[in-house]
Amino acid sequence: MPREFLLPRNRGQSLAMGVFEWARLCRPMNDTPMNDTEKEMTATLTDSGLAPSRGFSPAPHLRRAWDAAESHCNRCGFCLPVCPTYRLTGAESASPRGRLDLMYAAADGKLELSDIAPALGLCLGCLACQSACPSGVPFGELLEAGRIDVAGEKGPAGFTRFLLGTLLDSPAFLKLAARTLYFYQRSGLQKLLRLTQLLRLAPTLARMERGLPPLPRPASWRGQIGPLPAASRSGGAKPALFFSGCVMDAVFGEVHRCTLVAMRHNGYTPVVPNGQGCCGALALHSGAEALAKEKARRNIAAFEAAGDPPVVVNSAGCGAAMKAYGGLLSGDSAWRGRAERFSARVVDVSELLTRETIRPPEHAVPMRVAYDDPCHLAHAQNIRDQPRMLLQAVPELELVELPEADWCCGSAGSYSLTHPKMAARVLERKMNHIAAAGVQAVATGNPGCLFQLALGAEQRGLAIRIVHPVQLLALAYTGREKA
Amino acid sequence: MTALQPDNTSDPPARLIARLEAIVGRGNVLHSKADRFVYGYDASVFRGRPAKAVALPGSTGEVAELVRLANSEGLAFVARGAGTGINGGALPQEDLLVIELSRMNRILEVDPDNRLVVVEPGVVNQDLKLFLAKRGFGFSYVPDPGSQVVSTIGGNVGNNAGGMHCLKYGVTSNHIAGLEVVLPGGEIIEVGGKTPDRPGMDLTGFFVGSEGTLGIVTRIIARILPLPEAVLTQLALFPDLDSAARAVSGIMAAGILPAALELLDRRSMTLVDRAVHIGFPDAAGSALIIELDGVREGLEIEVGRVREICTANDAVEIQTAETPEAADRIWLARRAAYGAMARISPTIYIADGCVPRNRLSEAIGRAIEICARKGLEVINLAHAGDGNLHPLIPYDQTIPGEKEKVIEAARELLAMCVEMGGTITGEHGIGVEKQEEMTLLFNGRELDAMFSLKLAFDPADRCNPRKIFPVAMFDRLQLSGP
Ligand SMILES: Cc1cc2nc3c(=O)[nH]c(=O)nc-3n(C[C@H](O)[C@H](O)[C@H](O)COP(=O)(O)OP(=O)(O)OC[C@H]3O[C@@H](n4cnc5c(N)ncnc54)[C@H](O)[C@@H]3O)c2cc1C
Ligand code: SF4
Ligand code: SF4
Repeated sequence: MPREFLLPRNRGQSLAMGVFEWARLCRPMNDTPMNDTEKEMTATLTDSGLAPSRGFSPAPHLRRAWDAAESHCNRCGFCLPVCPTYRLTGAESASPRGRLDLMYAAADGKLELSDIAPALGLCLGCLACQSACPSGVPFGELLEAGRIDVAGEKGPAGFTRFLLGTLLDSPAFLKLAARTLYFYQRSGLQKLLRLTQLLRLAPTLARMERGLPPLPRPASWRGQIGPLPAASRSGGAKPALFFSGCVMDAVFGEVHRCTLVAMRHNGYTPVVPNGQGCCGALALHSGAEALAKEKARRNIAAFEAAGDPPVVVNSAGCGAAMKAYGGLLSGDSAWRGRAERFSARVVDVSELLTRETIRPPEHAVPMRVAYDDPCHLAHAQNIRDQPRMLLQAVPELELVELPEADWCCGSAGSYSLTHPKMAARVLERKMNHIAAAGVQAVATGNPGCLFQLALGAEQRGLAIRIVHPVQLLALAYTGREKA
Repeated sequence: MTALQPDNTSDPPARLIARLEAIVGRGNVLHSKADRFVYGYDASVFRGRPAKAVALPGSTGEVAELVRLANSEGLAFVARGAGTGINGGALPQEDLLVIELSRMNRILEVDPDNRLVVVEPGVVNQDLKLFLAKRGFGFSYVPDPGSQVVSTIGGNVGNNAGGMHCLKYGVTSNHIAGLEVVLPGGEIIEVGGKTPDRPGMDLTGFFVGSEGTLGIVTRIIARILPLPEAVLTQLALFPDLDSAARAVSGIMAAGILPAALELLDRRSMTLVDRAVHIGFPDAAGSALIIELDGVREGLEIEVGRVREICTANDAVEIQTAETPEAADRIWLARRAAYGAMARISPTIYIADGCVPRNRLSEAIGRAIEICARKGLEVINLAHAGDGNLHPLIPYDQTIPGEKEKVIEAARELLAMCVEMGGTITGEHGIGVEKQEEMTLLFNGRELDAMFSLKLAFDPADRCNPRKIFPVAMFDRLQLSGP
């Protein structure tokens, strides 16, 4: 069969089609894997795992990722207890081991990509399995390859593509959206709509509306850092390039402001290079490889032009994606070297600030605070201690360890839109721990997690602040919440 | 080149699915192609057929109804825990219903007075331990297979799992007081119970280790033991395997019963060192980890005697952990071995066999030879006190013929164990991996005697079919009809 027929095709770019695609993406999937009765099963009965490469594969990205992997899955199962979707369903196909087996099978042509799509879709991409795997199986890389193959050669179509491509690259649009939604939530319009149940006329919209986290007040951050602290004025300022991102930039201006404050109090002079944009992580997680590469190249070029100081990120997801540009562009001889050099420069803000002893802040912040590990810091970048160190540096702040702190909160990019039921169950487990901890704030360093936990707190009516660790640190430096 | 083999497992009929859903509820029946496919594996190197359908029951009653439904459909079934078995025991050998017990994971009762817990089969071994520790009962469930973070108590019972502390405390069967079992016909029975020394046949012992071929365990009464007052861990390094093995025999002969007695060969030590930097000296050709536990008073004396015995057997260095952290560090050398090995090789095979304790070093030497002849690398770990060796063989499954070579080497290893007066498994069980090797250990009459017991419970071989016994015995059964 020619390959064309095996791959889901991009069915045109008309906006009508696009909206259809988006609605499909947003339609709640049956969270437990689905029935499938159309096709004959074609599986070999005797071998386990990957067969030798046969050159042709109906899932070329997967095939390549498997061939490049140094370790293969032993099916030991050590990843099962840490996998949220397995723990919540008990289904093998919802486990990392199951997903790997399915990805082997698709690469080998034993199952079709459409057979494995639901199992890959249900995966949070939290990478807890990768941390737990004694064999070092590169689950994240394989999952990415699998998603690209499932999305098909041209990647996601229509509106999804428009959203991932154009809208996330448009600061003006994102700002407008953030402000509009903030206005919607705070003006009483939300209350009104919820009260009148008008949204029941549009169920998809209603579901999205319910899943909308309370947004922080839009704040501009450029030029809002305040006076330079004495320490760095007295010379020895270290240059650092700041990555501002897309959603972070539009919605979490206050986090950006605090990041720059904390950096300056530790002797860094932050510079925000022009020409940078969205990191491409969301595009990649949706299988839009070409788009992600485009964004990677643009960022690499922008930061190269600004010299070679470290590239500082305060979003775990963006940091993880940018540290992986080297891998993403490894097949592109013109860019491979540049991408690797760029990736090596990327640091999370918590890594940067803990390179040397954190300068002790002067103001006390007497709060009981829990730290929640973003998956893309703990599992993707193995950064666990550094953010906690930022919090421990704050005078009178009491840091509380949450049980299962490095479990996913269910945000996982657009996951809460595509799999609302599973996302809600994962969030519920997280909120149970948070509610029991008796804290005044939860700190976490990723926009998706900030949204998701804020949503969880709101749904439960918990008066807990959800903040980025740098916000508490900046507060301790300046003694003030605002610029 | 492997051609795609058409598989004649057909999609399950909608009627079957509907009947299953009527029992366990809609979300608890899995039957998509992908869902059925993944139940074709466990942690072994074998591949079973895809499941016909998978049901996740939530109670004993549901299990019994599933079994009765399977019978009425003429369908075989298999119980599955976490699927960490290495012998292929949970693999469907025919078009059958997988009964996955992961949802039955409640700890039903803790009875410190009688030193018992009552649990459902899907409870993960480590979760039970953590639960007991957190509640501060001062008791723990002892059996500690290397897979304890993930394997289930039901699966541990199925395979009669062992572990590092089974030298002194015994394997799973020593810790099971009673079971509730759904028999292959769907009847629910209780065997054993909370009170010891019950009259009648010891059916508990009969079910433990039967690898799910006699029924499905739905509730387990397990013993819990008080935590020892003191634990002392030693690491002894020897110039070669032989001296370490002699020390092991010496310790046991002196009447000392360590809680654990683990042996690593030189290759394991090198790998572990590379992974977690223990700092083994070059002069050491093997390492023994010795853990003694009990009341504090006598312990110092025993530690001294172990030290003497090791020194008498040429130990080059003996460390005694003074703090729990130091003990953890010593144990790390053993615990890190699997991961260290798994990391350097694309895939890994864990072999399992037993020899008389005093022939352990000879057996390890021959295991290295067998693997070398096949061009395979091997590192050796052993539960030395039990003479249970675990050669780990790294291989690359993507190289054609590699896996077959490993399986052949494993077969030779088992033949060697039997020839040396040992057995074909220390703790991993038979499953499909070693069913033909049963003839090495038992003669026809003995196998027939066991088989007739299996058939007494399961005349149609519907309960985890075609396992444990040589395939020919099942073929004969099919010819003659049940
Ligand atoms: C890395 C690694 C290390 C290991 N280390 C050890 C070790 O140190 N010692 C050891 O003994 N084993 C070890 N094992 C093997 C394995 O973990 C054990 O055999 C374990 O007991 C299997 O439990 P499970 O829940 O995964 O069961 P499964 O693999 O799902 O099932 C095992 C068998 O039990 C049957 N079964 C499962 N549940 C039930 C039930 N409720 N009623 C009746 N039958 C049932 C199944 O049909 C099957 O035959 C190891 C495995 C791995 C991968
Ligand atoms: S822990 Fe690693 S090797 Fe083990 S089953 Fe999971 S992915 Fe496979
Ligand atoms: S990434 Fe997270 S959800 Fe996906 S398989 Fe791994 S642990 Fe499970």
